[in-house]
Amino acid sequence: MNDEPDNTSSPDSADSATEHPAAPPADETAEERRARIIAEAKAKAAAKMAAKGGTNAQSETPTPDASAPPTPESQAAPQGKAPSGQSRDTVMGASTGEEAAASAPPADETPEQKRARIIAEAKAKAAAKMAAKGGAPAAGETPQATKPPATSDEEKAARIAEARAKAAAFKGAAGAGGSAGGATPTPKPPAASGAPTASAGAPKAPVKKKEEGAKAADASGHPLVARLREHLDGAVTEASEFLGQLSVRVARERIVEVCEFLKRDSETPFNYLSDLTCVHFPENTDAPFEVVYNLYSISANVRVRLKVGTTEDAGVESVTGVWPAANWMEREVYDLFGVRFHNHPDLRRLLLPPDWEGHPLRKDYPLEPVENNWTTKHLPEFSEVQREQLEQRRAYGLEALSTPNERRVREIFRAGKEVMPLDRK
Amino acid sequence: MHQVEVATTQETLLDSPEMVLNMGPQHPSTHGVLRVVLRLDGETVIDLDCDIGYLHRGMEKIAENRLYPMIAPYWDRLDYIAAVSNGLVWVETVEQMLGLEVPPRAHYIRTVLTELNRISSHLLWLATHGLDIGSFTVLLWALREREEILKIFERQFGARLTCHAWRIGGMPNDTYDGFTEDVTRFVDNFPMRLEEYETLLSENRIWLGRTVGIGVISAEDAVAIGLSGPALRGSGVAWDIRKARPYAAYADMEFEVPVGENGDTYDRYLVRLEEMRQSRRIVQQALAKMPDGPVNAKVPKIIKPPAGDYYHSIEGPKGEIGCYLVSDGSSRPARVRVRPPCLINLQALRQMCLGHLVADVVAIIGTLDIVLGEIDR
Repeated sequence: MNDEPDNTSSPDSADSATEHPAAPPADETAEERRARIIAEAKAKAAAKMAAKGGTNAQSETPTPDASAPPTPESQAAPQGKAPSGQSRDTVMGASTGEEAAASAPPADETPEQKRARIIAEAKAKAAAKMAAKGGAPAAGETPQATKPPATSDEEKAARIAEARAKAAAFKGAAGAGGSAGGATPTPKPPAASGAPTASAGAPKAPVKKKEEGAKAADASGHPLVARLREHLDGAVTEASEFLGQLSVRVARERIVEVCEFLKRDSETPFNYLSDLTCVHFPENTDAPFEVVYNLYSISANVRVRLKVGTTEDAGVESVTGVWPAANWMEREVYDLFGVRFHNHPDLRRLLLPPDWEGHPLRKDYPLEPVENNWTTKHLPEFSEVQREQLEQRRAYGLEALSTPNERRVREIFRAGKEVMPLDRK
Repeated sequence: MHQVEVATTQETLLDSPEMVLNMGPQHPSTHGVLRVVLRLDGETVIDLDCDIGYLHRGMEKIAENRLYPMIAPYWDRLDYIAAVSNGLVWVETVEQMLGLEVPPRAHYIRTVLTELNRISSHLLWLATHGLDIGSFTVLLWALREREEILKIFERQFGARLTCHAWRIGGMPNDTYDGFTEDVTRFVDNFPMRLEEYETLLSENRIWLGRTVGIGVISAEDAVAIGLSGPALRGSGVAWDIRKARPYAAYADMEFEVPVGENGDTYDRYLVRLEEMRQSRRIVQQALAKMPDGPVNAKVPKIIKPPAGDYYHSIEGPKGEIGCYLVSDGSSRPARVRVRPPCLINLQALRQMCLGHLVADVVAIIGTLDIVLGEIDR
């Protein structure tokens, strides 16, 4: 999209505005008028996007009744949207531009339908263009790229799954190439492993970087770990060191025992609980919640980190008996993650209202306005505009609602194969 | 002989042994939207519970959905009184995870401005603490000096409060022309101002009556409950992260860590006043030793720390402000945890208030120096 000439200010819009002047009904209210103008502007902007998206754009733009002159905002928003849609559809291996252009718009469609159709067409076109740009696709890819566009949701889902599998396969191949390259003294340039991924029409597969940065190293030889292993047999399941920081993974049932031992340790008494928090790893189904204890020894000036994996039901034993400081930190973890701490003196929510539903820092909790019993009781209902914003946000990730500056920043990052949150999974 | 029974106490139906008093969330002395529920026997606090979260914005959740450079401004809005310090812990955490070599000049500028921020934070604490206890003059005087620092911030960062002071890898720009003169003028005048505050407060009978022996916490208890910063040092624990685990350019600075003896509100007041003097020393040294050179490291266009977790903390004006960062190797963090000093310091409120009068609760909230923006995040 970036390297295209910017033809947003083409005279089409002005022409169509004069050819088809909007005849507003005489008795419309201010709200109706506003809604109409917004709808028209959006439709117009969508048409613009379609014009940008394909080479044969003249055949379908301008749309007949999109008569309001587009505002800068209405132009900018779909531009921002387009790449995310593009990457999605490219992976689906969608149709060529000709097919999309051939579908004649029905005469009586509503502005919403029209907008949806135009966006779909533009996406298909962009996908076709992307495929053409990517050079000759791989042999296995060709039949898929010429398939007709998906009509039903099931078909679409099947395609997505298929494309995902393919992308994963390519990713695997790239990874294998990368590791092989790393083994030889002169590693291949990154383009070598990146190129096949791009031509396969799967821009989602991340390009393997050669230099990976620091890696966690095994720290079984650390004196503290050795001491823990000696005194508490079987309590330490794993010890690693990352960037000079020691992390010790502890068996869930024995965390209090380990904490007691560390607090009374003669060489490095960890008398100060710096921090207690939790991290959610949803892909780790056995123990999705990792409770993390950052301990500090004021006298010895040493830090150590303990980690305990747990589930929502199993919870963890509270360490408030060892360090009273853990009280509110455990309450916060319970509040935001839903991990229960056994034998905690006062386990209540800390930050959120006591009758709140859900635990916001879990990965499956949405980053959007939520509705639950508490909000219906205490907050005004969503307005129409808020609802629409919410739907747009769900459809396009953060893109549709972000400010022009934010979009510009993303534009920069997208050049580096950045993907939107929605595309991430 | 007929005996008349006489009641030995003067109880009436109105004399109830206990009452529950709600203080806040809209109360000037709670320094924000803190709600404290007190159970009182007469005027003595026999139990206390804090209700927090009125300002919860879910910053940690937002951060998981943002690119690394985009997260920095959110840190300013935690402890907005000490936005420069907060920003420093975030950029340093990311820099250390990335293994970036920040140029020495950037480190020195960071040291100067973070110490100025500490002074401004302590001045606002002094102003409001004095106001809570009944000294109005100190509010006007302390804010006058704070204004000087905020003007320096405005010239340097373009903002007075939420500065967005740093960038990952260094500074957004070098110091402005006249920076050294402005800072020198401030630090030259500052000892005189500190003496003025001391003449107002340090031997003031009312001040002594309201602070000495109020909110006492022993060193052992303070460590156990996780106090940090001046609140901990007031109890006599000489732990300062600037000394223990130096960051920025603190390793090259000479300064002392003031500690109190009794762990009461008056000692914490003395510790903070002395810290301002030491901060001034650090600023002077950093200005004198300020090296030339670039202020930015070579930073990758897309910031992707290696997969792993890292904890880094600095000595903020309120205490140990830390960042526990979990990266999955992508351009967005998997988890950003703020170690909030005010939240953990506030835990000690109950212990410090039990047995004191209601008016002392106000003094103890003041001495803990809390900012609700950071407690609720």
